[in-house]
Amino acid sequence: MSTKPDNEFDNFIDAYVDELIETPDDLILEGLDPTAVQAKGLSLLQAAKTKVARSRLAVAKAGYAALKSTPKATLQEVSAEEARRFLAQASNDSRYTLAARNLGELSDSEAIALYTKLKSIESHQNGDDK
Amino acid sequence: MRSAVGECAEALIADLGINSPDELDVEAIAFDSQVDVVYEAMTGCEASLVGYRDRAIATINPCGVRGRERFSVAHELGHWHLHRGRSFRCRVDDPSANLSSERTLEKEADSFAAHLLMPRSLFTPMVASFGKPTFQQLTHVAGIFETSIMATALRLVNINTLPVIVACYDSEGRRWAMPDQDIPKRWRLKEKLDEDSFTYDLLNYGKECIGLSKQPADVWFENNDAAEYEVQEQCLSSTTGSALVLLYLESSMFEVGPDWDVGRKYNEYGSFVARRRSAT
Repeated sequence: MSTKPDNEFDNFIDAYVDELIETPDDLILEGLDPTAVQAKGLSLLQAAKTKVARSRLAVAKAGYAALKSTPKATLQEVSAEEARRFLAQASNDSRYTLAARNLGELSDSEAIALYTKLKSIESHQNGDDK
Repeated sequence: MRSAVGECAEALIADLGINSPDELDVEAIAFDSQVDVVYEAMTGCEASLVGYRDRAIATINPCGVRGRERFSVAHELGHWHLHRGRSFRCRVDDPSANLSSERTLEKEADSFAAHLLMPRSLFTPMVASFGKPTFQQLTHVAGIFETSIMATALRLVNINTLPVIVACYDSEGRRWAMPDQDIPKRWRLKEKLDEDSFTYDLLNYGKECIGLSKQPADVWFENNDAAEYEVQEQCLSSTTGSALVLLYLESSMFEVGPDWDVGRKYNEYGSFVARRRSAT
């Protein structure tokens, strides 16, 4: 893959950053106190990080609210035997995570419910991959 | 001391810029970790987690006790962050049940949940404001963090700022005990409840403990010199005939040297019988 900038804005940013890096520190500071400049920079950075973090939390809250209003997935039409076979295979496959009761302890409907959930995640992920 | 498990949980809190207990929205935190939380009635199980690659669904049994539900979500999120790509039997019992067992993965998930729901940066200053918190004050804290009193008391020990032991006793004796890690190992908690303890009165006569009360330390410890010291005790009725106990040790109990005789037993021939397990 080429790393060469492919538009004028990228060219401008690259040139600007290069120039900034090559400029001597005393020219940039122009008589300002380096410690105070550093503190102000760190403060701005922290404020930006906090803003990003809080936006992420807001997005997550909205995401969960949307999830709650989504209808539950209907159970897959699969036999309990097939669901158990799939779960047994999945439990031996590191792409899957299963933290549940032992297969032998699951009722037929619970085995099918777990199967349905795993299949819904699979289809979601496979959709993302496309 | 900070554990890697705890740091993992508290990093999530920092990443989301959470700085007050009311922002500890555990379902949203899970969503941010690509875990969808769904509440569905389950039989014989409190929660489960299924995942494929980087997405998962945590199913929680709606029990109506918000503290317990939140703990279950945080527990499953712990499995997701700590044990992804593995398959194992998960039992989300209350932390008390996992403490009295040897389930390493469950204990790790419990520890993760405790740190996530009661992060040190928010929890420690709050309990510090009480000095030595009583159960009433811990109940108040539990209300703020929406956690159970059990999980809150265990977190109090875990933050390692107070000379405290939290223990659970029933009529048979000690079920488990969790000491602050700085408490000298020489102090050996009794297996059976002493008749002079307030906890004995609670379990046998239903007599409530309204606050912390002083006791000679030999009521609680096997050591021969325990009577020279004092502890503060409070107890609370817990699940099915057991009692949760708070014990604060006085500072001089930290200054005393090892006790080589504690727990030493001799058989009928005068031979030393090795001790069964460590002090607390």
